[in-house]
Amino acid sequence: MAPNEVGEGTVEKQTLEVFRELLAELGSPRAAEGISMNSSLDRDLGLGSLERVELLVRLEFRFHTRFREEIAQQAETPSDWARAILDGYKSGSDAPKRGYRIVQPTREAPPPPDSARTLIEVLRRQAEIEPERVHIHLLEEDSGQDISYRQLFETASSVAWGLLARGLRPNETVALMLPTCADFFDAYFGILLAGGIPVPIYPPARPNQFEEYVRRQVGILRNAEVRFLISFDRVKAISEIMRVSIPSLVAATTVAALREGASRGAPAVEPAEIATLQYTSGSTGDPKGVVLTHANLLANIRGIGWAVKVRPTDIGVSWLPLYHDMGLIGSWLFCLYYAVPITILSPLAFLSRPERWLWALSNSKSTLCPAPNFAYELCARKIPDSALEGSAGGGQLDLSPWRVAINAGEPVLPDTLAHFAQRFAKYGFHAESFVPCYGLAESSVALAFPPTNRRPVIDSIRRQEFQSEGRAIPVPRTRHDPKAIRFVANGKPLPGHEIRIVDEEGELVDERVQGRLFFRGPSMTSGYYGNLKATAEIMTEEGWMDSGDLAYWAKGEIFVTGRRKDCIIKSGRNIVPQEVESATADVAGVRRGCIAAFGSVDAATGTERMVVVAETRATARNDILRIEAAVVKGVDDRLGIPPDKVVLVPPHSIPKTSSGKIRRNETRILYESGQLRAGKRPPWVQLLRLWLGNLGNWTRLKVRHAASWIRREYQNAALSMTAAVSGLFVRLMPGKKAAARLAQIASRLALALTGQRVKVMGTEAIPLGKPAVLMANRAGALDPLVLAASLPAPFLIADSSVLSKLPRELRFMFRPLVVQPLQRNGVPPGGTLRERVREALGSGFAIVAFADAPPGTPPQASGFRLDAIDAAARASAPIVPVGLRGTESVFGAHRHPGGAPHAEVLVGGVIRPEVNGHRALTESRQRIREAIVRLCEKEN
Amino acid sequence: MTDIAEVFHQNELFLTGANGFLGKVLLGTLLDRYPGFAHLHILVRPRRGLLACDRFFSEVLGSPPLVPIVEKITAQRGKDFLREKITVWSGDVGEPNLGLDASAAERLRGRVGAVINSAGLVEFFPPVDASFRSNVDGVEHVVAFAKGAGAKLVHVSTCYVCGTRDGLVEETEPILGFYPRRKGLEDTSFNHAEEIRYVRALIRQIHDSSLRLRSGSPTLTGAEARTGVAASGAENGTSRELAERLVTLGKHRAASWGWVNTYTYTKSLGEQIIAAAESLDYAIVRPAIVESALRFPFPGWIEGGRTATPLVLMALDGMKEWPVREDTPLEVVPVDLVASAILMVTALLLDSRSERLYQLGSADVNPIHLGPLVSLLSEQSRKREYNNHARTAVPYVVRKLTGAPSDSRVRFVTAEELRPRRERLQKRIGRAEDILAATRRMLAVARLPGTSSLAGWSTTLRTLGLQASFRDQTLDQYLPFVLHYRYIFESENIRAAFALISENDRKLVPWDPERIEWKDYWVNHQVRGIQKWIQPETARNWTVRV
Repeated sequence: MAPNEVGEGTVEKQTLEVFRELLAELGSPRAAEGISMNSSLDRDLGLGSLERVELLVRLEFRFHTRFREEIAQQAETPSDWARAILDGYKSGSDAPKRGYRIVQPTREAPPPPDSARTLIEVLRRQAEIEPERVHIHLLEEDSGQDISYRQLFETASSVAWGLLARGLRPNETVALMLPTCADFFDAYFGILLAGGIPVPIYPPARPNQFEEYVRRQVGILRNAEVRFLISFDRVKAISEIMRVSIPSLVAATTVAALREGASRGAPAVEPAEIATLQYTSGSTGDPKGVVLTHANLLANIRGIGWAVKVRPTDIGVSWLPLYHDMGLIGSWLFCLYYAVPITILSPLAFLSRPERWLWALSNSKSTLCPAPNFAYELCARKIPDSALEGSAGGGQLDLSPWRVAINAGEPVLPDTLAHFAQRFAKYGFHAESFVPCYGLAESSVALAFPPTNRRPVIDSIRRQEFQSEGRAIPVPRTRHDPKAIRFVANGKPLPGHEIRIVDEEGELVDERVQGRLFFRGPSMTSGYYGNLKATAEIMTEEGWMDSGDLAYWAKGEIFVTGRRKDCIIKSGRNIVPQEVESATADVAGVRRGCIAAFGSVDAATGTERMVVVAETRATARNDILRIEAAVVKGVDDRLGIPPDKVVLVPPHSIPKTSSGKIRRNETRILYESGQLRAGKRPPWVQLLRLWLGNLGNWTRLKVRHAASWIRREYQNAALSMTAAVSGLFVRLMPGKKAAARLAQIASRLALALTGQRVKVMGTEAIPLGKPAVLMANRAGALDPLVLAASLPAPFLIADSSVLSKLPRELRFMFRPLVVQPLQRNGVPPGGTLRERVREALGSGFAIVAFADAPPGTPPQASGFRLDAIDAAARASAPIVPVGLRGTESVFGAHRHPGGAPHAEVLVGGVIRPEVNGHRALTESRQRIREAIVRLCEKEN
Repeated sequence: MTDIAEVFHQNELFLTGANGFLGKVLLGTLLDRYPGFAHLHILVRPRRGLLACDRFFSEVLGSPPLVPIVEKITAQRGKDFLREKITVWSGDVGEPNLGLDASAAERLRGRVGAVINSAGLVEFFPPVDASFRSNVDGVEHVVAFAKGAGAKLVHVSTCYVCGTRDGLVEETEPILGFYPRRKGLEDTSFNHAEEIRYVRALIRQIHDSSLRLRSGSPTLTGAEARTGVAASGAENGTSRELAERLVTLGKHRAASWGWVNTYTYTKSLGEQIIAAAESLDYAIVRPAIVESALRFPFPGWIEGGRTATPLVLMALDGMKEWPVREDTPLEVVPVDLVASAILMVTALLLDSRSERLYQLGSADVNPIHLGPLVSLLSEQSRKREYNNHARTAVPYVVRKLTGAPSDSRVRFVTAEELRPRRERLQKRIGRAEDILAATRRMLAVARLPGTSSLAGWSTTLRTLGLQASFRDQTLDQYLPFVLHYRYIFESENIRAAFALISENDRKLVPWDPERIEWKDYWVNHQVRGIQKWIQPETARNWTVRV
């Protein structure tokens, strides 16, 4: 068909034709009949991610065109597709021009940073020795960009400064709601460099799932107590809703906003011990935040590196989502650690054109790449041959360098391995490259690895004994048993890690007996963030952790068989739900991949019933009955036991995790509460409902803001007025003593007016009316004010540098209290500090000498000048150490909910400095410093 | 009381770094004030085809500050006096055993009382291996040499090893295990030996990988490889890349512990090597910013662009907006006071009465704050009409482009305020250049006159742009730590030392920063010295290198 001659009507007609064909093949002819240009792909036609890919391929074939990749996941109606097709013609899109090429590194990777203790050290070292080496080739639609170590380090540093400027404090959490893009990497390390803890969550994908999305994420972010949310512009509406529903959240922002401002190198902040909170996409229960420290991650990365025998010439590829452990740790951070260049494409890019993944592998000559089982399945089944034949830039698809093809993240199916190896052998893929391994977020990411360069080992076992007794009896090789269950070997635990398989009583089981998989080792999490109960449930006293999975040992390797909670116990047999689901999937009319099998306890009989929930597009009564019968038969044939209940539901009724796994437990809860059939509402209704639901929160937040604004303005006004007016009078006072007294009264008044409380202890040690030197640390900018308000006697201030951090009016009030310059001509003008303090002490004043350090410096790290000590020694005046605490919270902008802040002034016992010589002075200083440190550390 | 003349009469001295700014003044002070010294050994690196000995007599003794002293001393004590009392050793602190052969080391054993190590690389961001060679390996070799010769060691370091700091830096802070972000004495995360080993390994790696790249040359095709030009181009590219990687490595290592530059980081490593050395009697002298002479050899003597030079040049250039804190004191010490202090410390060390650490600052007794200082300098610039010579067009253009009248008062702004204005200036210059270029093209096409005068204009604009970017660079890269942080270096030990020497010595080697009239010093010594002794190009080169 000649593209430019096509009319709009023709395109629409043909588009609908393609839809009808597909729907008919998918077993929902009724949907096909009722289709219109405005039918919803989700609600009316029930087309999920995979069907959309199919649709894309077919429409491209029919119209000889290429679509933008987002269209596959974003199009809502057939008319969206038609528009995309017409747009494509207008812009004359043929094969797109590839402007971006992945350039091979010129150098081998440097040796790994074995001594690094944090990810920050790792990045810093790579930026030190190989600043310009390309770390990430980030593939975008038709272009791409290179990110070097130096670039990543520098942008991350500016993000860190942005977070610090907005008030992020050490060990606070920051949520990352970003798709795969350069911002993600900058933000992740920016948070680490600022001393915070990144909490990656998955970004909202499709508008019609907003409601469930927000509900789930709000749960996570509340549990994580996040202070900031870093998102992107397109999801403003959602981040705004989240902002009002999460009490701890200070602001929702973007990387671009955070990067504004100076680039000043990396900030000097101690990194948090925790490197990441990984909220499990696990299908059971409320989200749990797996706490992963830098040590956990590095141990795991080093373990994987050992297992795959990483080489300095390796090259990686990943399309895995970065908010998930496999994409974050197993792919990106792993490659960062070993300085392996990694090509990253977005999950969306992969889902809409799986062949892009293979081309990325081929173009980058990749040697390492992980993916879950379904990705291999998708490639084996869905990619048209034409997409594999030569690229626009010339050259054949070449998978021969690919030496480690990790298959993990979900159960590994032997059939998938066979299909994939068979189809891609002619492109150079070796079956020996498959590395089917096992891991879980609680063990950072990986736990068990088989040896590399080995064909996957597949264990065929007898169904009867396995289901009834949990014994894995191998089927003799010579006999073919169609009912046999097959499992893939997952190898041995990583070095330093241990796995044991135990029965329900906690006793070790024999080889080839299924039991619960427990593990321990350096990658193991210390527990779930803020969830002691859930942590206690999976930890044993000996430091073992329950993986929640079932497995058996055979031939020195582990074979993981499934999730324990998902296991259905029926008539004394243990049934693996995947088995039931795969039997159901073969029934015509059932949506593949949208089936959940689970056990549901029947309250009446007390026994567990096997329930199969399956999505179907069929709506006619007859079709439904036919499919139900077929499912019962199919399961019975395969497993020898029929399901008690088959529930057929419309598409998108079964909840899934962010990575597309079935949430069986939630399906069970929905089933038991009878809510399974609730349909999806249009996006705007969802948004509206969310807004209304959050109206209360929103109002509360605004009121709180308004209240704190009023309070702040009042406090500032009261403080400034008091200080300005008193300042005038202080200056008019005839003598220094009277001036100091007045300033003292004014300080008390200011604190009283603004409702600030100061706790004072031990002031009886201060000699009244006699010369004395008070030495204090710097806790906050307002130290002079707090001290003036709380001490019994008026005092002068030794050094004017303490005034520089005060607000203008306060500086005005306190300026007359600084010891006077000497009335003499000479150099330096007004005499040295030592001479001035000596003079003032001689006239009988009490003098406060603050540490010469910025506010907030701990006393052990503050410098104390010897001048006041020397003056006190010569005048035989006592020195009184004063510890200040919490003065930074007086009028502080940051207020943590609960407990009014109050400053503390703690006065210690008198110290008499020694008089003989220079060294005695420094020794006295040490004694004073120690006294102040003790005061500041004193328990209440 | 320690009698310095007596101590030096009994002990021979060994000096490194004599050809530096400080080294020359130190040598001059010794020759002039204590000509009765026993013997002086000087380590000089042969360079530019000159033997060490010739280099010393021509470059060092022939330099402006030393010529009058040498003349005086030869007149008083005869022609051969210097050749008899001074032995020049050809060597290099970067080499093991200071590059001396075994017989030389044998001859020196037991003769030298104290080694004064004032050699060092004062470049702020050099390739880290160069910095290590002088400031780390050099110190290791000097320590080994001093121990072998049975001598004590006076080492010249810098106050800024403390890293970014706001407030007082105490002299009692332990040297070993120090890094700027240290959280207290129980924080032992920094170990200098480990750090040195680690960085040396990284340096080796970088060199190796660059060698591998060169020998493998995977980027060159056969045709390119045959032509020599392409090959040498690639070679140059690699060595430049190699240097850049080494510079980055230094920056990163320094920054990761909290030092502001590679210089202070390696200097601190050097100090820690000395502090960790067993059975070595030592004193470390840490001057703050060493600037022009107060009295000796003559007021205003200065050499090489020093740290405060760009500050002076920018102020004299008529800079009005300063991104600095007014109340920050500038920690400057005149070079002759530093030389006095070093001789004093050496004598006390030989007399076993010294402390371990001496900071040489002035702000703890006699601070000069940046606010008054900058105003003073800018007043000078107005008085001298410094910026009016022979470029009348430029101030006019500047005024038009920046919108700031050049006779306005000095203002203190934050760096954040200044940045957009600077960017705007650069953008305006760029735009003006574009317009000029376009006009020139149009004139050329239309064959109208005036292209040549416009060419002159665009040169002026380019110069202006370069000047502005020089200013930006200076402000961005190097002044921050001097100007943004309020450093006060406690200098109690040197004051105590001054009290320990005899009345007569106090006149010969004075330490009296409390008596400096800063206004007079800056106007009459520092500014004049810079104008007289430093070519603006040198200063500029120096800053760009920084």
